[in-house]
Amino acid sequence: MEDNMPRDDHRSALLVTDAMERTVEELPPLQDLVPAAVAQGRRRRTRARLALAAGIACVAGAVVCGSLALAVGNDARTTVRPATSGTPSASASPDRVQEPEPYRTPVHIAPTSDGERATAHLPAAERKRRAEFQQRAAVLLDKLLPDAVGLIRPVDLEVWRYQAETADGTVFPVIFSVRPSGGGSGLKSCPADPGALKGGSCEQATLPGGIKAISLRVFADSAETMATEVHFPYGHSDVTLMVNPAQGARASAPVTGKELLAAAADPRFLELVRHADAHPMEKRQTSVEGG
Amino acid sequence: MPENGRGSSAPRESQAPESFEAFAQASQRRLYRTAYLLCGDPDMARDLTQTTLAKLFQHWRRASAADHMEAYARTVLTRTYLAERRRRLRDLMAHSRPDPRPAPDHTDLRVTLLSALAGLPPRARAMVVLRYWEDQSVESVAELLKCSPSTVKSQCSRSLAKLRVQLGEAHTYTTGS
Repeated sequence: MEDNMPRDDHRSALLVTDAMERTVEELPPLQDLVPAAVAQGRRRRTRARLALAAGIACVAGAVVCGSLALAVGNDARTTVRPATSGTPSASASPDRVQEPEPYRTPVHIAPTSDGERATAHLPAAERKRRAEFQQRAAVLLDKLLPDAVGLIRPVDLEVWRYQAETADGTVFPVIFSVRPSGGGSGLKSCPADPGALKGGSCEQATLPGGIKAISLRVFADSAETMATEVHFPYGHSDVTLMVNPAQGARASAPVTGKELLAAAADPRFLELVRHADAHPMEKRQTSVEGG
Repeated sequence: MPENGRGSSAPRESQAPESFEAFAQASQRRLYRTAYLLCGDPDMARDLTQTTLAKLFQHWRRASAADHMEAYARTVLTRTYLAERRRRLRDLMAHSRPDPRPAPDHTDLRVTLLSALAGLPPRARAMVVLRYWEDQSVESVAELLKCSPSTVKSQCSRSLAKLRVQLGEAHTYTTGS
């Protein structure tokens, strides 16, 4: 520190420096961040290269579209194959198999209702179980959804809430819900009257295992922004995967219905769904259809 | 003092480039400590440190060619922190996402310091941490934050005055002068 500093500033600087030294001494031990940083760095590198090479991005989009086999029947029903992840498979690069996935610091949102407060006051073991599930889901969704959606983090308020954030700070709320079915019919087919979608679109598809799914692209939050969502039943649950428009309705969800269906068809995603169906983390639906 | 991990005393600043893993292993704790003073939260500091290391890995060829890799890493860390803070401010428009500020009436020095630092604007906080924790010169801080040295001096002086009030008499300090 400079000798020509005013005496008060000099004393204050020493005081602050001393406080800083004492403060960091109390920090808990740091786990080794290098393997996770390497994994995250590789993903960043891959994304940057994809972003720079527009041609490559087009090819990647074609691959995604090509992976959707529009094969079954002559109507709008399709059979959806798993999405390509955009990153090399483990078999293509064996050295990546052992790398831990990067930790996604959850977004904290303060509870504002009794229901949300109840979630916040769950037993520690249940909170931990849900947090671990959200970590797995966030990392997997990051692999399965287009890069334009951004980095996905869990939201700590509810197990079904996530948040995607792009490099320029645009935030897209994401929902991944596996909710025990209340026995209602739910959203299982596209409405017979296209007008009911109010300018949106709906597509029916078949996921691996013969699971009937629908994807919707509908206006949400404003008259100019659209959300993309996929719904399907699984076991005793109703599954929803949804990307909402950017906060402040600044942009539509940057993912098509086909892309979201491809993500839902991925075996890793369905394994997460199977786990959540077998070990529910959300309350059973109690709403009455049409209510 | 090498053992406290502060920037200016890092012994390998001008050494030849090495592997990313070796550099990251040697640097992560020091970066984590600086990140903690910037963020005020261990989890966020870990996240910030990991992101910084990931960025260094992503651009390792350029980073390892830098004259001072430690300074390069410090710059990445600080700018990542400031970018994150800008994003958080935007988020706050839509979410009530609080900073991890500790209770202000707590008497623990760590809590008092972090609370006082949290009261500073992000750039001012970064200046204080770089100047008084990383022991960087006014000119280095100005270059890193892309502002003038006089701005750094005046901001640091104002910030110190605020911190002095909050750290205050509770923590008597002998300067030796």
